[in-house]
Amino acid sequence: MKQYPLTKILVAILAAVVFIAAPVQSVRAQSQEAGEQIVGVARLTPEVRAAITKGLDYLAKEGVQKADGSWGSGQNDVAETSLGLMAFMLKGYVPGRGGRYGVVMENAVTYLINKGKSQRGFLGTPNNHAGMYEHGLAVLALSEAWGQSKNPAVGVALRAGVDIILRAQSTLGGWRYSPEPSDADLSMTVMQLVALNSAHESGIQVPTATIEKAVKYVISCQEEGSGGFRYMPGSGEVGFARTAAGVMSLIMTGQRNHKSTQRGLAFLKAYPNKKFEKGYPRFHYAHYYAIQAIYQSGETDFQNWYPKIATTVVSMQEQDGSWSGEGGKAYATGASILIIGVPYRFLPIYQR
Amino acid sequence: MSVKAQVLASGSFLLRHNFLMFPRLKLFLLAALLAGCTLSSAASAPAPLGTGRMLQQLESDDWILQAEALHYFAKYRVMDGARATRALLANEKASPWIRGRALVTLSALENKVVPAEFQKWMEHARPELRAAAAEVLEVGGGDQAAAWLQTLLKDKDDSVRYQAAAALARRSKEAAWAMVDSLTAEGTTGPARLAARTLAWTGTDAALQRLGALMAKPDQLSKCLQGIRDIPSSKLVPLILTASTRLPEGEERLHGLILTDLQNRDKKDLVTGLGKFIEAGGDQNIRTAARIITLLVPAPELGVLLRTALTKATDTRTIEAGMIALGIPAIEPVRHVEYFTQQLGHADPAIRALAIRCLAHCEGLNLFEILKPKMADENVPVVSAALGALLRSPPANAPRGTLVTYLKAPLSSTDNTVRTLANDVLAHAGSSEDYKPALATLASLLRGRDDDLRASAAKALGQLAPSGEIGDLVSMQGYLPKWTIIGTFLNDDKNSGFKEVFPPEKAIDFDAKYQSKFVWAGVQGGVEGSDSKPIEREIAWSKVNVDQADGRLLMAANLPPPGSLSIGYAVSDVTVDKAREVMLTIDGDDGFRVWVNGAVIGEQMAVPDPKTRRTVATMPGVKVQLKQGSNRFFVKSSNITGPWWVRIRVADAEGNPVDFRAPKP
Repeated sequence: MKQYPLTKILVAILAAVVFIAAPVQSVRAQSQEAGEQIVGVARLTPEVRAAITKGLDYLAKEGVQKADGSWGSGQNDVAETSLGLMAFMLKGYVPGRGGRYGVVMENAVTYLINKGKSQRGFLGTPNNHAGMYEHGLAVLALSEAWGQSKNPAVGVALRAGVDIILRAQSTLGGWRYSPEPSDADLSMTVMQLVALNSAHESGIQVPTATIEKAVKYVISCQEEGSGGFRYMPGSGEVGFARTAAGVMSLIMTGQRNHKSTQRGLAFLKAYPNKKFEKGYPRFHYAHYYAIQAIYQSGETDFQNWYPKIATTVVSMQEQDGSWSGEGGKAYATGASILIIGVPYRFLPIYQR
Repeated sequence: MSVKAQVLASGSFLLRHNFLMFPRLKLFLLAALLAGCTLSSAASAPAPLGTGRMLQQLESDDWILQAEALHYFAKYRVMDGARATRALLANEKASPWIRGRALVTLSALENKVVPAEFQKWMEHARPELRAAAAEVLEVGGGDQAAAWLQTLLKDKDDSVRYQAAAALARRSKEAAWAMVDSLTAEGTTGPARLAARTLAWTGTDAALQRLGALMAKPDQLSKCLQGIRDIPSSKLVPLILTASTRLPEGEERLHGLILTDLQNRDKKDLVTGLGKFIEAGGDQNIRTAARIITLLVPAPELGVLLRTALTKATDTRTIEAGMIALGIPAIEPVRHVEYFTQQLGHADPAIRALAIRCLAHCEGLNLFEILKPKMADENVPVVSAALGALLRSPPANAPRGTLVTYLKAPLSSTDNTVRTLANDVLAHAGSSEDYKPALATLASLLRGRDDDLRASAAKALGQLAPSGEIGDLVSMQGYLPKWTIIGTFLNDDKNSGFKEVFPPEKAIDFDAKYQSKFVWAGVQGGVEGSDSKPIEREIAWSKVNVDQADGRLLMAANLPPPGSLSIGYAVSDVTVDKAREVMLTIDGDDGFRVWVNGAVIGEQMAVPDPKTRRTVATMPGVKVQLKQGSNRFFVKSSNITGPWWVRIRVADAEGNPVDFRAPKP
């Protein structure tokens, strides 16, 4: 038998201890400023950390956030504000707790609360095709804020918002453009499902039957052979963005081991690498969902995926710290930060 | 003076005054002329879209088409049709009846009667035209109408006299009774349509009583209904309902005419009439009312009256008709739950089954509780109805952990439909706690030879079983439960890959890895942003346990996506103690080739069924000799698009499954 020198054995034991202790060290590492930072499972490069800070500074800049606390160009302000707000929460900043971004976040929360107050609980832009999408995104943002700050006014707006989603579920199990139970499509359904799940996690009561019906609807949008998801059951193209959305919602609702989820993940992984390229259609929408799905899929998949998407996203950042894309500048900036910042895991929805 | 006339007048003025000296004025004049035309057209409502076609119809020599056109002109007041209608009226070669219709239409369009001209039609040699003149006088004729009608009432022809009477009755109502009484007295024979119309317009009790008597004659009813169909009187509803009760069951045409008439009446009148009709009582009335409520006026207030009346009904046909009405959603069946529940004990099984169906339409009930006694009902349709209702009930209401005991009777029924439905209920509402008792009850079906019962039992057990137990269910049925698979290899929409020999076909090496190609094309509905360029990837063998209780090995779910335009291979090794012959049933979607111990034993490619669009290939009864020891089943499975799976059942010569599981210690 080969004899190992004692020093080599000691080095090996030390290495093992360091490896085992890495997660503990990684949490501490958040305060480190220099060099490569380990957060959770992924290595956040200095470029990614700088991009996130620059992006948040852009959003917090005077004139970028409007006086009423919103972000956006006027068309989808609720969606832009919701994503902008979540981008700050991602790094562990809490609305209203002072600090560098506390006021900025509190203003955004107030904007969403006021929106709900003025529209009998509805948070989206009325008569807008994206209205219900905005509503779901706002409920998601408020849920995350409620989970962190426990501001009573957030709770009131959140309960009213959740109530609207519950009442707008169609008999098919999904949701569509307007806050009424008329029809359903995958995109709207996933948004409401994620919002409901997040609200439930933050302590708001959501009937299990509602989630179960919605999950069934999401699964019905899957194309059996490829595992990809369509816009509606049995109709339309299978798409990367749709599949990312479908899979992410299934994972969030506890269906991680469901064969539909596994099949969907396989689809996402097998889909051509052009999905990582700049200018890929609905880039931010798709990757916002995809990164969360892959993050929940497991270490190996995440380590394969994250560096590719992080590199692309960082390269897309503009000089002023913002990102541009479909949905508006604040939407793209918020989504970009949420995509590359997944390892921070301060948002409850980002926790495995 | 119309705008057009004014402009024309100004135009002639300008012509006289050399307007060509003023070119701008000329343009203005042209524009004004056009505007004048437009304005003059706009003065009346635009002609309906069908006018052109109707004008063509009027020129045909088919009186049905002509009559339709005339009706259209009158209904929509198509003034563009007046000229052609007048031409038809003047055409002596046309049938007198259609000319009469033209006269009525023309007077409706022009809304006036020119005495000199009208006199001609009143005195016309043909009674059809004189009768039409009388019809015009129902609403037209102004001050002279009464005098003209007096003349027509003395006409030698019945149809003219009766039409004149109807017109007078319409104009004078009750005051016309003396004349109407003598004209329609018993024993007189006149055209029933016009007699009914006359009596209906008169509207006195005596007149309506006489109308009722006339409608009681089945051979006159159709004509009577024609005569009264446009008379909007609430008093006519009871007469029509009574006439309906007197009709024999098989008189579908007359029943249809009655429904058509009632459908066009004021809904409020109909509800009131039906209410009184139900309250009058009697099986016949209740039955008639129930059918009309079902078809025409499902008003909740009528439902309450109907249910009260039904408690006194004795005829099962009445109870049946009543329950059908009470069960329709608009009647709010939940208001009548108590009545439906009472009927669960009715001696007639058809009523019991109907009561169950009605209860199934009531929201918020716990049918598992209400229908428990019906599980043991002696009648198959009753049990089937109960099981069908449970299938639509929320699973949360099912008894937890004791559903198999609840379904004991239907699960052991001798009727296959009942057993299948009971299995479906188990699948729908059972929980994991029901699995073991369900397996004990259904194991014999899984091992049985009846394909349908086996499939329904497997479906139920598959829903209840913990995921680790599915393999046992698969084996018990005789399906091969464990496979080692590899894919995908490239196929195309012509299934060319099925002919190509890929490496696993040359030698099976479970450690080998291969570079294979796949394409995104072929996914149903397409894949956004994809092209048909083949992409290369590495593939390897993997072990798979069948996770579908029906024994299907899902190729697409267990191989890398997309699964369309793909070829895959699957291997299953089984061991037998001694050599024996077995009978295989192989099926798959889309196609397969199967080798046993290296020899091809069959292949089949599915042809899409044009009706179901399913593409399942099936090869039943394939006899194969197995050798003692290990035997290898090797399958090449191909898919073009959609679902992709393969399945092999191994049975003995009698169809009993061969279970290859190692005996449990």
